[in-house]
Parts: sequence; structure tokens; C-alpha cells
Amino acid sequence: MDLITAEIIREYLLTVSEEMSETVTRTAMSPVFNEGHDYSTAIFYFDGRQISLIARATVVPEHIYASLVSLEVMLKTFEADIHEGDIGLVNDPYFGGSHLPDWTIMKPVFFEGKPTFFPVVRAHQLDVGGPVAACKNAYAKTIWQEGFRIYPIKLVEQGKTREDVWRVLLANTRLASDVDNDLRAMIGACKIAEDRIRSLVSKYGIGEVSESVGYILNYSEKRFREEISTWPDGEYEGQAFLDSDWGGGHKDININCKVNVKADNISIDLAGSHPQVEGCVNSPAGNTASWLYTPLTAICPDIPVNSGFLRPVKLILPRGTVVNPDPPYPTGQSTVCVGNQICEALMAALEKCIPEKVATAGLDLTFLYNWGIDGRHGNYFLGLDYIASACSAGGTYGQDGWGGYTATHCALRIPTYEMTEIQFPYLYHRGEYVTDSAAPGKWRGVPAWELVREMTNAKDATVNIFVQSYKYPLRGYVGGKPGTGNWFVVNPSKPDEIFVDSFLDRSPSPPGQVVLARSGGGGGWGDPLERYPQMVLDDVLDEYVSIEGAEKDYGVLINRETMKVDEEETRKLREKRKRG
Amino acid sequence: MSMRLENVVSEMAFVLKERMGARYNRWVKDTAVFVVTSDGTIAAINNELHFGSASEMVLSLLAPEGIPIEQGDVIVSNDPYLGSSHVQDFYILSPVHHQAKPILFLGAKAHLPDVGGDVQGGFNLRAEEIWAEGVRFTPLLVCREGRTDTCALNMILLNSRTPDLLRLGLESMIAAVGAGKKNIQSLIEVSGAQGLLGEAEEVVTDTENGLRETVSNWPNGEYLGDCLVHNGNIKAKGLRVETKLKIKGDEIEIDFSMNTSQLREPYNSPRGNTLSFALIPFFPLLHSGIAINGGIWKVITVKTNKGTLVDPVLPAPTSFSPFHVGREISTSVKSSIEKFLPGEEKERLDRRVTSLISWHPTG
Repeated sequence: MDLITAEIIREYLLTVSEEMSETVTRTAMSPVFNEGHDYSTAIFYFDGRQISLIARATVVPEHIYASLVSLEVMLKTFEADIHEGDIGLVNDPYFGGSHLPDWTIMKPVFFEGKPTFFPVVRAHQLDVGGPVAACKNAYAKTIWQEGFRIYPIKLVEQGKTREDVWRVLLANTRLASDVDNDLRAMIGACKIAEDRIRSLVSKYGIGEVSESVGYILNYSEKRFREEISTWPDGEYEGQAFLDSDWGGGHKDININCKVNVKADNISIDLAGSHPQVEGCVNSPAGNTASWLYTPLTAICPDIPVNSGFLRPVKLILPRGTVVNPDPPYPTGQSTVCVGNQICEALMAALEKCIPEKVATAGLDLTFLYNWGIDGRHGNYFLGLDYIASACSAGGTYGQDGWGGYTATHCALRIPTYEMTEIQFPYLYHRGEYVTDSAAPGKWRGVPAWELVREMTNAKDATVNIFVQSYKYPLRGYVGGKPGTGNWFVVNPSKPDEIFVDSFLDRSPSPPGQVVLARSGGGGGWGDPLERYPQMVLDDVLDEYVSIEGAEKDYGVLINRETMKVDEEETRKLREKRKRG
Repeated sequence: MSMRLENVVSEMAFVLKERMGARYNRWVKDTAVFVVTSDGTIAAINNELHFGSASEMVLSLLAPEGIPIEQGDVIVSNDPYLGSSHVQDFYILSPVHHQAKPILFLGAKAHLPDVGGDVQGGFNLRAEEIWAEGVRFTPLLVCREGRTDTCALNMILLNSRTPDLLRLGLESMIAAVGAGKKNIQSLIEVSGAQGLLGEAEEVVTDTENGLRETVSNWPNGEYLGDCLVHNGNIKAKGLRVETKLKIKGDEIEIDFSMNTSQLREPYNSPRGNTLSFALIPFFPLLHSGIAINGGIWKVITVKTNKGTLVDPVLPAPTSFSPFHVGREISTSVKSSIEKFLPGEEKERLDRRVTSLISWHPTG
């Protein structure tokens, strides 16, 4: 094996992962897939003993590391009963999943009689039965109250579809037609990957490809070990809090994180985190691992992401806690909460070790769901409004918070208003950044996002709202300020106005109902008094910051007439503030 | 009447009861075992209370568009839209093959304790959709070619708060069917497959003839019946189940087509449940020589409209249907029958029907 060939093979497999992803986007039916891009694709390698992630598309990382566990569980369950042409499926959080809507499909690709490669698609199915549409049961105390649990099972056996299994899946969703099509899109992506992998192996031979995989994994491991060894040895602690578990009755749910850096190894211990709770925020081990691996890969953007990268990392996830719950505790919202807080706790710990590399890397939570009958055609609709749960990127060293998702959900796309209005009985009044809401910092967070939407021609419609980070907004780093937090108002300024800072469960949503969603943005990085005055002026000109806000939050004085920074007065004001 | 088929189902019932054991004692009346011919006709059943539901489920399981059932297979379903009353009622069906062809099917039905949903046990007063009551298992093969499909079985068990009890129930049903198969094979050895099938055909014909004779003694006409639904939990007020009973010669039509639209409450009666409860008032009127089997459907037809309280469609919840509106269906039909019965028989019928419709253990 030569290194150039190995690198070509690595890039080839990445390209195949991307082609899988494109296949899903272009063939899936539901907007969650083809608009929101809430799925992930990857290729795994099995050496007979161990499964390794070797390539992934630009995906939702929170999906893909958890897929590793799902795949391990499927292989363990099927044991020797894996054959050419099989397609396996699992969604259960206690069998390698995260929450019930995330379904993982795998297809073994055989060489020399052995299952060697596994193309995998993990995707968010919008509905999986259960008492509340979209698996959004704020009062779920057990997983059975969230939806249909899928034990590892084969959807296709040696090329023949298990029609009975397929029908059971469709019987347990409110969106049978979408799921039917989206499953085919997922399988199609795996089949295309198989074709491409076979082409690769026919060109280079399985021996050279396998050797290259070994090199690819070792290379990432080596690179990450080199990176860790530049970090100061020591023990670093961080903590983050979740406002509540909604209907479970628990508040101020803590995540404790202790990071130990020693030479080129790192261990992450979440001991002391809150015991598992009755609300739907418990994060199964695979999901927790994903939320810990993601920040690590995000802070090393030039190291190829695969299982080799993960080798220097040891995770300690105490059982019976919100970061590694036991069945049957509910997990429905764990992919964001407490996932985000796990990520924040790790970043808080790393802030003391590698301050220039940390930032908001999680996802704020302002979930807005509606379902009912669309009066335009009389069909059932179920919509997850991604536009309401907009972007919460924070500032990081050298970069303001950007207008897109953070690392954990970086491949998600915000659908367009126009397309969403075609698909659902909604009318968007506005969606815009809010002046003076960006978390101040030397590099500020993205401003808060405010959306106003009206329900139009719907019948028997219901609205479900979930909010976190009202009490504990996304934190700032290295002196940066926190975000402004999240909340909703239903029917603002009307007699029946409802302010929502936690959740609204299955409330009627008649035509004319207006919902205002406020997503508070990520934290700032660094002391706001060190922000370049010209950048503050740019923000004022962009209306992200008012002239008053420039003075209050940044100590920058701007002349209203000339719209220029008064540099001398700014210097004096900042010095005065720094002195105390 | 074929005592041999009756004996087969008796032994199946015995095995089912013994295997389910004490933990299922209170649910014994909510079980049934049956023998089905290859065209989907029930030739023998041990519990007439579930005959309607079992008939509907068998037709669904054996429908041309259904899942193929091969030798050694066992198929399971609890789907109310295929014949079950509610998701807690599981049916299994398995073929008996002779010379590589399915000649009979053996089935079992049992109310099993929990299959997910919002409320343990599935009786969810607040359910507006079936998924709030539990998981729907459309026909799923849990045994294939004589071997348990562990993944399929585990998928069912994973969706129960009481997987051990559910496993016990399902395995008991499979054991009962297994015992029935052995007996059927023995009977085939004794009298040959054709002999046994001839007997099955004969008992069905006997029932048809016996029922026709009974019905032909009843006065022709249309008889209206109805029953107000009595339950404080039902939000829909003034709910009634209406019946139009038509007797013409030796045939009966029970017409429920005038009934109200389905509810967003768990009282909808799926067609299988409606069939079961619609037939109950007739059983006390049949002489003891008339066995309960598919011959009944040659004489009695039941008319329902899709999307109504007595024949709901997805996603109507159904968990309480064996109580409400099942009981009201029986009472409504009974009240239509009473229109032509003499006084002393009315009283007897009333007592018998009241007793029969109160079979459900949680009633």
C-alpha cells in the first residue's frame, strides 16, 4: 500500500458518503429529509472484530457517532445471520438508538465471504406513532409513551423485502406514505454505496483497500494524539444546566463534566450528572457519546473524522443518569436536550484547557410542531417548523457566530418560507434578527432570531411547543456574554396571549392563531470591550446592534451624525470600565 | 356435527389455558381457539363470543393481498382494522399442510396485557387516535418454517411494559396451535385429509341448514332496534347504536349503516368487534345442535359503513369497544329481535344477552 493510494481511497469513500447523502435528498419524499436534511450517511468497516467509522458525508454529527453504536448492536443481534442482500433497521434508544424518530438502516457489503463494509443511513422519521404526533410527548414518563420501538430487525433478507415487517412499520406512523418512500430513499442510498464500494475494490483489490482503511484510521488517531499532546495536562471541570424536563417535574438538571488530559490521551467523565428523570430528556449512551465526540471533532477541523480519531478518547458515562439512562426512561428530546447541555459542559471544561478552541457547539431548543387537517385539500399534515428553531451559533476565537447551525447539526438546512407555505397551512409574517440580542463578546454570538407565523386554513389543528434555555441560555466563553434565551408567545398582544418559557402541550391551533418564536442565539467569546470598534460599527450599520447597545455592551461610542466611531472617547470609556 | 373437530379445539383450549396459567386466569373468557378451512371459513371455535372478530381477522390474514403464510409459519396480528377488537387482542394463525398444501389453518386469540401506548394495559380514556392505545401489529411472521423469528418476536415484546407476560401469552397461543396440529395430523392419518375436510364442510353446512330452519320460522319484516350508550366518560352525548334487522325467508341482514360517524374517543367498535357483538343475541335462540361456525355467515349478513362508530377507519381509537359500544351493539340488536319474539322469550333473551355481554373481566 502506498500513501497516495490510501489517500485516494479515503477521499473516494468520503465522496461515496456524499453521493449517498445526495441520493437521499433527491429521492426522499418528506420535507424533513429533502428540505431539512435531518439525516446522515456514512460508511463503516468491519475487520471481523470491530466496527469502525471510516467516512461520513457533511452530515448531522449527532446522528453519525450514535450510528456506530446502532451498527454494533445490529451485528451483535444478527450474529452469524448476516447475508448478502440484507438490510437491517433499528430505532430503539436502548439498542443503540438515540430517540425513537431516528431510524438507522445498514447494508452489509461482502468481500471474500465476509461482511466488510456497511453503508449506513440514519434519519429522522417525523412520526413513529405513540400518543402524541412527532414523538413529542411532554408528559411521557416511559419510552412506551413516546412511540413505536423497533428492535434490530431485517427489512430485507438476501434481497427479498420482509413485507410483513415493512407493513408493521407503516402501521405505526401517522405519515405512512412519507415513511414508505423515505425508507426506500435510505435503502437506495445504501445500494448506491455498495455499487461504488464494489467498483473501488475491483480496482484496488480488497487487500489494498483494507490496508488503506487501516492507514486512514491510524492517521486520524495519530493526528488527534498530536493535537492532544499540545494541550496542557491536567483535570478540567465544567457544568451546564437544563431548565427542566418539561412534564417530568424536574428543574435545573445538571450535567457535570470532568476532562482529564494526560500526554496524548483524554478521558471525559460525566459522574455527578443528574439522575435519570421522568421527563423525555434522558440521553442514551450512544447519543451522549455523539454529543461528546462532536465538539472534539469540531475543534480539530483539519483532522479526518473517523473511528481512529476517537481512539484516544475514553468516556465514562455513569449508569442511571440523564447521560446514560436505563430503560424505560423516555428519551424523546435527548437529541437536543440534554444533548446540548452535555456539549456545553464539555466546552466549559475545555475552556480552561484550550480557551481559543471553544465556543457554542450545541443547538438551542425552540421546537414548534403543528398537526391537523390542511383545509386546502383535506389531508392530514404534521409539520416541524425548522424555521422557528433557527441557528444558535456562538462566537469563537476569530469568528462571530454565524447564521447557520452549529457543529452538532451542521448539515441541517433551514427550509424556505415559500416552500413551507406551499407544504403547510401557514403564513409567515416575518423572520429576522433582533437588534441588541447578539451575545456580546470580542467575537459576538449570532443575534436572536424572531419568527412570526400565522395558522391559516387548517381544521382540528394542534400546536405543540417545547422551549429550553430560557433560564439557562447558551453560555459565553472566555469573558463573552451568554445568549438571550428562548421563548414563545402565542397570539401576542391579544386577550388570549400565552407566554411559553417551557412547553405548551397539545393546544388548539385554529386559523388566525399567531405564534411568535424567539430563538436566543449562542454565546459570545472574549471580553466585549476588546471587540474591534470597527466591527461594532459594522454591526450597528447592519442593525444587529443599536448605537445605545454599542455603548452599553461594547463601550463603543458612535457619532449619530457621521456614523463613525469616536475613537478617543471609546478608548477612554473602555479604560474606565476595565478599571472597574 | 363433527365431534372430532370439536375435540381438537377443546384440547387446544385446554393447552392454552394450562400454558397461560394462573397469571391469565381472569382473562380466560377473553381467549378463543379455532379451526379454519383453507377458504377462510371457521369450522370450529371454542368460544362463540369471539366468533365474529375471529372470522374477520381470519379473512384479513388469508386475503390475497396479505402476507403469504408458508408451512411452519405462525402469523400474529392485533390490528383492530383487520379484525381485532382492540390492540390488546392478539390473534395467531398457522397452516396445517398435507402433501405440501395448506388444508386447514389453526388459530388462537387472547387478550394480552400491554402493548405500549400512553397507559399501561391500553385502556386510555383520553386516546383520540389508535397510537395512543398501543402498537398496531399488522400481520407479522413470528415463526418461519417452524423456527421462531427472534427479532420479530422481540420487536413485539419490546413494545410491552410486561414483556414476560406477553411472551407467555404468545407462546401459549403458539403451543395451543401446535397441539391442534398434532391432533389434526393424527386425524388425517386415520381418515385421510379428504375425509377430514369433508367433515369440516359438513359441519358448516349443518350449521347453515339448522340456522336457515330456525330463521324461516321467524316472521319476515324489518325490525328497528336501538340502544343509548350509557357511560359518563364519553364526551359525545346522546350517542345511540341503531339497528335495522331484516328477516326475509331464511336469511337475515343486520344493517348498521345508519350509525353515527366514528369518534375521537376510544369507544369505536371495529368491524370485527361489531360482528361479535351483533351475533351474541342470536346465540340463545339457536338450539344446541347448531354449532357456531362459518355456516352462520351463509345466513346472516352484517352491513356497516366505513368511518362510522361500528366500522371505524384509521386512526380511530378502539380500546373500550368490548364494553362500549360493543354492549350497546348487542343490546340494540336484541331490541330489534324482541320486536317479533313472544313475551316470555323476550325475558329469557334479555337475561341471557345481559349475561353474555358482561363477559369481559375488566367490565
